[in-house]
Amino acid sequence: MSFRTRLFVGILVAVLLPLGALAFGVRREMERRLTAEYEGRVGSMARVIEADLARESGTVAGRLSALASDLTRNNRFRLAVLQGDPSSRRYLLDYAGDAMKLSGLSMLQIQDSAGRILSSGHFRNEFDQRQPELPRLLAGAGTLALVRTRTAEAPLLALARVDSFDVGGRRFSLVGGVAAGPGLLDRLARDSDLSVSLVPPGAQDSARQDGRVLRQLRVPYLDLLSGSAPALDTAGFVITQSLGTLEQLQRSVDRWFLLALGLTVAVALALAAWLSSRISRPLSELAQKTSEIDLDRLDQSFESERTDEIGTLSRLLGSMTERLRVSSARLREAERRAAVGDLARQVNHDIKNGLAPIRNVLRHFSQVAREEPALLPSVFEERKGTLDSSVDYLETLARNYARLSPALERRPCNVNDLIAQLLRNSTADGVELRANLDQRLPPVSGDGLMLRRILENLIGNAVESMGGQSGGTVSVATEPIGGQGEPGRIRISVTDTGPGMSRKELDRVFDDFYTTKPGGTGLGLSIVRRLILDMNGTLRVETEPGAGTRFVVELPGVGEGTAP
Amino acid sequence: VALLDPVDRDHALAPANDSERLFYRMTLDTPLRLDCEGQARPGFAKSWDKDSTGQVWTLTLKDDARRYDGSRMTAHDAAAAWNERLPVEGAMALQSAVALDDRRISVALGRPQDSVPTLLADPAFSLAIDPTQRPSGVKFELEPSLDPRDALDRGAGLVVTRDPALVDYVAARPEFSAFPLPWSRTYVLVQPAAARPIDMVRGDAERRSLARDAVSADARAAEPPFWWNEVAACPSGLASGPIPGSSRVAYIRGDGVAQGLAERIVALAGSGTGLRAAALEPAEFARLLRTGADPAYVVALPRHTLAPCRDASLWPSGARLLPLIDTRAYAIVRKGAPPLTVDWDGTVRVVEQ
Repeated sequence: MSFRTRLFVGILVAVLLPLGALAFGVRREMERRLTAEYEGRVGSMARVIEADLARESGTVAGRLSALASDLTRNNRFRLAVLQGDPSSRRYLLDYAGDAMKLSGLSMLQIQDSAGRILSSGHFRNEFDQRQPELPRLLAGAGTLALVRTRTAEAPLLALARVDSFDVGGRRFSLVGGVAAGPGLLDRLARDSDLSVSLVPPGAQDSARQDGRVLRQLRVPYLDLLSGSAPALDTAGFVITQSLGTLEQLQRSVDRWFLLALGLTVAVALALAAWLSSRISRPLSELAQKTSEIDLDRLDQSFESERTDEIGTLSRLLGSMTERLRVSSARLREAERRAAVGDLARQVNHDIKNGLAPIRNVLRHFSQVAREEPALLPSVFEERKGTLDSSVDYLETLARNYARLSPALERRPCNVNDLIAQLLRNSTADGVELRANLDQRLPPVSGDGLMLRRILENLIGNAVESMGGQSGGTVSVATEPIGGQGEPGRIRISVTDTGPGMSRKELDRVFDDFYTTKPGGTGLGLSIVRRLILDMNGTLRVETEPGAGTRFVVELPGVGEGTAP
Repeated sequence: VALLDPVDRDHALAPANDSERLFYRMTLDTPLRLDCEGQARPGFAKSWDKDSTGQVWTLTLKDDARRYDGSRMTAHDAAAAWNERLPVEGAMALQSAVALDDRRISVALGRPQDSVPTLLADPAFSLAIDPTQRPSGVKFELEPSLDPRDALDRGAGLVVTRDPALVDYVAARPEFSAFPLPWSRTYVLVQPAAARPIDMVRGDAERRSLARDAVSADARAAEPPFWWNEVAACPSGLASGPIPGSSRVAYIRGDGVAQGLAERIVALAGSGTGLRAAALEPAEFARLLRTGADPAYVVALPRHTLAPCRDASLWPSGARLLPLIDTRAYAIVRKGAPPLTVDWDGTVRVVEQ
């Protein structure tokens, strides 16, 4: 798992756990408090409903009593029920309908003592049907009861009561009530968050589907449509808490939680990315640079302006690389000295080989001059060939050794003068050569000839990179680097406006025998790099395809740590 | 003339209530008219003759017959109008009408007839006539939302009603006379063949009870003959059964007599059957009745019809028709008003003094 992923996961866990606990706690507390509040309101509502039902019962009872009183004095009713007067028959059948409307009832039925319906308001044409159970059971229920009966078009649920009256010594029942439909329930439910529903026997579960049942008020119930013999049962006015408000609050909390979650993820991602850019990526880059270091490639730059641990580490790696460069230069010098020692022994051996015949000839000449001086000219003629061949051998030897690289000379060199001289003598058709030389540049300690070879190569490469096209520019700049109190170093930049290099080309640019020029040996930059390393310097390349190339050489000034 | 029911322009050729019948009978005319005894009398045709086969009849128009715009009515006008209606009235016995000249129309019947084809008195053959040819002084007031008592008290000279309360009211008003019109409507329980039979009304006693107690109208137990018993030769209508689960006894909304009958049938059936009365809008009622989608319909049928096959197409083929009650309307006439005559179907017509 990467450092960035660990950071991201860590931040998420650190924030989400308390956030989740907070959301859970808020939801639970909200539910608890709302429930407590509802329970208080339900108590009040239950008392109000009981009072309303009692008042409704009283109202129905009052209306039935008034109707009963009217019927006992009603002559047409009397004639119809006692005398069977045909002309009053229709009046009787229509009486309950008219009376029901006038009295504001939704159900009204007049029965004789045998339970025969004489007149029905809610179902005019159910006359002559028998329904003796209705008044009997209602009387047994006491006050108000729920009655499920029917009209011609639909079932009717009513809060009903029964009354009775006597006409001509015969007893009649009067059943009346008000509809227990949505209107009544709306009147009972005066709290918008609480609802009242009427639940018939055996249907309590349906009320729970819509909300939380908080209270149930029991009411006698009589179902005349059940198909079986009517019997008193118990229904209930169920007060339920609408879960809408609670669910709305919970949804609101959930939305905020999701918003916080989203923000947390976004912030965690941003933080992880920022920390990664501040820590992880520089470390990766340092690791990459460090992995590219070897004795032949000690020119990695670890410069950093950061003041934190990353900057310190980078500078430490830089100084370590610097020490490696010094050590590498010393190692190369030691190797060279070892090679010179071997060479000296070879030279000694070769010269001895060349001198041995000469010495033998000279001893021969001495012996002839001492013993037989007259023969000296002839002997000289005789041995002259040996002398000539020995001398030729030595001359050849000298020429051959002269071809070997001489040892580096270290003396102060003025780089600005050398660059100026090179630019004056350079031939660059169509390419503008520019110099930006800092006059504060300290002399460098090195071999002037090697320095010349380095600059000749870099400037020549830059000019050749233009491919002969006019309009290009090659700039050579120098500047002193290093702060106060630090050993003096110089920086030489050779910049061209040529085609630049791809990443692939850049990776191979210092390889031996790698070249992009027709006829090139592929050794120029390789030798330049070695020479710079020999001078305890660094070389780096900055390039982009299409944006030119910049070679940066950094060399120690006089007195700066150089290889002996 | 106070019209107490809605009058729909689209019902001109097939009036649906007493007010439409009254209005269109006096603003439209048929080639011949039938009086209350079934005797043919001239309409806008003054005479009629048959050919030797009895299948082709020639009508001769009155010389002064004029159209609604006052122009002279020609045989071509009548023939064109009738032929245009024939596809609609396809179940009728008339096959074609041809104008022989300006005054004569030849009518081809589906089968020979010895006597004048009374079918031509059906409203389907009516044409709008010149208003000046109506009885003078007749003015129509369309007041369907007005209490009929108010209409009378505001000066109406003629009201046709089926409301017994209104008849009772005018009995106490000496300036009015109330005349019972012929029994003109029979309420029938129509049940599609596939419906479970409703048999609570078995005999005359039950019908009389319905007429006496279940409805607020001048009613009697339905008495034969019933023209729908003679329609076996007619083309069959749609044949489909009630929708499973439907338990409606349907009637047309606003028809109090049909409502009372439907409710009484539901009451007699008992709560265990699940039957319930259902009021439907007229168009919906007609559509469902034609397909027989409900187990039962209370339908008001005319006691007499001149086109039985056409009227029998209102219900699905194979349906059972149980006659329930007959009803009649009353004509309430202000004393001194123009004399009235009554047509074959009980429709009142004001005649010129």
